[in-house]
Amino acid sequence: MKNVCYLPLLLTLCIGQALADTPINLQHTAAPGARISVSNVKGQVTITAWDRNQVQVTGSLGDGAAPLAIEGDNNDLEIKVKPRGSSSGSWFNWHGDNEMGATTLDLRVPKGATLDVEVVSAPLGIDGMDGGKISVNSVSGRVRVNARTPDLSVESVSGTVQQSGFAERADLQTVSGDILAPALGTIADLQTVSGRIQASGGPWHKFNLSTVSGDVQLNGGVADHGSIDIDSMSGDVQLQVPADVSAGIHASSFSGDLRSDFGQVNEHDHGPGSELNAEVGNSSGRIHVETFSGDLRIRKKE
Amino acid sequence: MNEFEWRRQLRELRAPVAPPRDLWTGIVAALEPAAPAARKSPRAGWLLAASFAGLSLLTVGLSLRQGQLLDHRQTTTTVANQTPWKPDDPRLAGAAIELDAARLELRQALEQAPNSPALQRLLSRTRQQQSRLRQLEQQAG
Repeated sequence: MKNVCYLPLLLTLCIGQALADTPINLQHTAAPGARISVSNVKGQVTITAWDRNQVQVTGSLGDGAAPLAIEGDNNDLEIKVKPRGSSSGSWFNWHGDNEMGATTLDLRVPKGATLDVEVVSAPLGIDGMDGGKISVNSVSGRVRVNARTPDLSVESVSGTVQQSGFAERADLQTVSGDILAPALGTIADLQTVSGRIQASGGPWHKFNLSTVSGDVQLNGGVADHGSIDIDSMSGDVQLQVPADVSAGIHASSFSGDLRSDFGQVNEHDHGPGSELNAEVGNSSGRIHVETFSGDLRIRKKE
Repeated sequence: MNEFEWRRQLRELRAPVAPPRDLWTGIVAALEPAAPAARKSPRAGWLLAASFAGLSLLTVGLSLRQGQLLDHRQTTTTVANQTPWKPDDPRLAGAAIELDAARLELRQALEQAPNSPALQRLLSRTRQQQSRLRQLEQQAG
């Protein structure tokens, strides 16, 4: 009998929820290589490739959000979640964010499309894209990209960045979010302040990595005339390269422990510090690693 | 605690320390009774000269220390003044604190290894990240 008393309250909540989350069902034709821009402040964004020349958007619109529309033409489409009555030109208005409920966007897009996605706290998942460039801006939402792309760019503040598939060129940047990138192509630039980095791929023509305090595990080789450059302050660095690597390896640490399977590590006679200068194979590539207090390991991959 | 933090704490111990009380009263009191007794001694002139020399050295030493202390305070104040920015949004505030701390640690590291190109590059990239965070805050509306 007691439970009956709660029924009106539950009913009100259900009705409220039903009114708050408006279902989305939008479609628009699109060119195979169309540029598609998506933005959402909070909730979730999922983008899945398909073989149709069409964009489909489903999901639910959060309370306080303006009615959603697919804007633009077949070559350049835009799907932006905005607060109702927003006149701000900025792509996410965080004042508006406080007034808006979470919006879930499920998109189906042509697999060769170019994506430009901006999210704040909404986690983002991208699956199956093949051939187009992908650019992502996120603040705290997790970013997961499983795609074959010639150019992947992800900037995140605290959200984790997770890459798979293949990215010929990758530019991944976080402040505190981790970077997990096991399928990098020939050019990569990875940057973090305190996030952990795990990356593989190559052989790299140009690979740059910088970390202040985040630890790094890197697995890959250097291409002919290619280069790998790693800077770390206190983050530990472990670099694993193929046994048949051909490169000049130059590594140094001010006060960290430096060990290498290649060449001979020299300890400084006066004061702290150690360094390694080794020529391996015909030294067609270049590997340069420098840490301040982080430990450094250069391992041979058998 | 990692090695870097341990080293930083050691560096802090190296900072100049001001005496807990005024030492001049004790020094003057110790010198004044010695003066009349010195008149009776044939080495009075030498003792007086040595006392003045010691006093001068002590004064110079204390002045230098005071100067170092002031420099240290000024540095601390400068560093404190360089970190006034704190975004309202908690999603950015944490990152702003993290970037400030990273910049401070990089500067401390650069004091030890001033010729490190890697540290210079990291400092430059940290500044770029701070600029980007400020842009994000502006975009937040």
